[in-house]
Amino acid sequence: MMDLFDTAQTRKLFPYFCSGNRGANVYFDNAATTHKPSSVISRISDFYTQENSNIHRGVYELGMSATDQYESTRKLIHEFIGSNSAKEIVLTSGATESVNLVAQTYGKKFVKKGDIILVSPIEHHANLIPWQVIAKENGAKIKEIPISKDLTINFDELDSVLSEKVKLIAINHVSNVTGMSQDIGLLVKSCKKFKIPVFVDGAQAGSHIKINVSELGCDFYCFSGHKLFGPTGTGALFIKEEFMREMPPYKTGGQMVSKVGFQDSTWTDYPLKFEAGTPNIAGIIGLGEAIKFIQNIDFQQLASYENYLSVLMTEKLAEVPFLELYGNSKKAAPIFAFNIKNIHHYDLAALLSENGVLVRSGHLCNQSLMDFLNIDGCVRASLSIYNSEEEVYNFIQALKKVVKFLSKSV
Amino acid sequence: MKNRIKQIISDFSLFESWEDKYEHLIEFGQELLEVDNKSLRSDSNLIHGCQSKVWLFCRAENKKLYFYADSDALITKGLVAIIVFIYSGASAAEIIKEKTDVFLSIGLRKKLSMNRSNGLDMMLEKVNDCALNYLKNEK
Ligand SMILES: Cc1ncc(COP(=O)(O)O)c(C=O)c1O
Repeated sequence: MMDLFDTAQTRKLFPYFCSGNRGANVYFDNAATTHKPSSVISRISDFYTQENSNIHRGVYELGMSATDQYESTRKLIHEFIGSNSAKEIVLTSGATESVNLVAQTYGKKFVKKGDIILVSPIEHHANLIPWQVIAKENGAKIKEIPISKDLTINFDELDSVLSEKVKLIAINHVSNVTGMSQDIGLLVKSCKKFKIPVFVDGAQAGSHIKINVSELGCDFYCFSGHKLFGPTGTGALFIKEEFMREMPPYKTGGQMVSKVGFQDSTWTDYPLKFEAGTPNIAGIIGLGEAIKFIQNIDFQQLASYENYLSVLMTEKLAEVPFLELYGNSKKAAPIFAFNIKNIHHYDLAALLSENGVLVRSGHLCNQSLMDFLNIDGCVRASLSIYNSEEEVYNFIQALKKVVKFLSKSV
Repeated sequence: MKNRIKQIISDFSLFESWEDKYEHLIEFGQELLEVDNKSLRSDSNLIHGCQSKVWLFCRAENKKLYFYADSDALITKGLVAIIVFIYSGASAAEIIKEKTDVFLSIGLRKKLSMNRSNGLDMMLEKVNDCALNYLKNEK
């Protein structure tokens, strides 16, 4: 097990931080993507140098071994998120593809004219636009899940929007803007009466909290590999078996067929019927390595370390005059979104970067949350396991310096 | 226009630290461009896709083009002010022919590696489009 309170030790596992002055920067953009441990990087490079071959086809040993490795990632993910079986896991290219897959298969078949898809008004564009598209295509409507001022689901008002017309509810597990988590378990319970399937976007959850889809009780759950120390272009989608069976394929082509005639073909069994074509084999095998890396972390210690960073960040941010922090309760991840009165978020982020502090600014692919907060953008600092107390101090020092510089100019 | 480009490059070469460079950039924007120019800040002048809002408007007089701009962020306002300063008063043909990357020369393009988010490329594209449009309408 890693000792997360020993940040120097953790950083040694990530080659990025060991490479010259790049590693000296304060990297606070982990909600965009995390760095990769050497185990993940070398697994990918080993695959290409020694084991490269396609999967699910070759009868020779190399091909079968690649298939085994690829399939073992599926099994690791099934164990990691607590699904009933590995058959409930579709390997995808990320959270975005996962949402599109469900919208274009489940949505296409089951969302009919006049039906409703409920989406919260605080979703990443990836968990909003695919629903808009299928609703439009099928003549259905998108409606809002009621959200309280504190940015959590308003359970008092939820009942008023639930009905048999609602064919799906889509919500994030952890927000990419505030790091706050939603009570998925309670949402699932509330939806039982009308048997409404619940889709959860877990893109920001996996590297911060323990995911257990069986306990949550949701019907769909997706995440992206690159936000949990894995390669870009990888991800996974959990689909409850009862839905898997009924859903038509997403992409069509090789790999996903059982019988092919010139006029007509039949699909292979799930989950492979959702994985047409040659996938990102090396990436998925690398993702397996990332899951092993996470499983070597004690989640209780992870929670206490990240909470320690969060408390420190909150305390230090409060020292900055005229700083407004958005949604700073129920934090499941050390993600901080803020603005400083009379200073543009772009100016702040650009000058922080001049000072070696890497943060994001803008609408953060979450325009509706910006509208909800009545702002046109903000700065986001997002931390991860390898960020240290010292970096928090350096960040705050740089922030104060930049604010002083910019205040002079307004 | 060549002289104005030279002037900008030599002005900025005086500054070494980021503080001095940005201070100059911000002041340049504040001095050259009007504050809160309401009529300029219209949707039709807005350049879409930038993190900060940038408004850019072009007008022709005696076969020369003149640019007017504004932004709600200080750095972006400085950047667009440089564009206004350089290209205003030039002919459409001159603008299209001019290939000097001023922002690279003054050391801002590499630093502001977020060319996409600050919209620098889009501002330059709009200037170029204005010139192309002018030539098209002239024919
Ligand atoms: C909450 C949330 N959902 C979805 C996504 C999209 O993930 P990906 O780009 O990996 O497809 C992101 C990534 O920024 C996210 O933060």
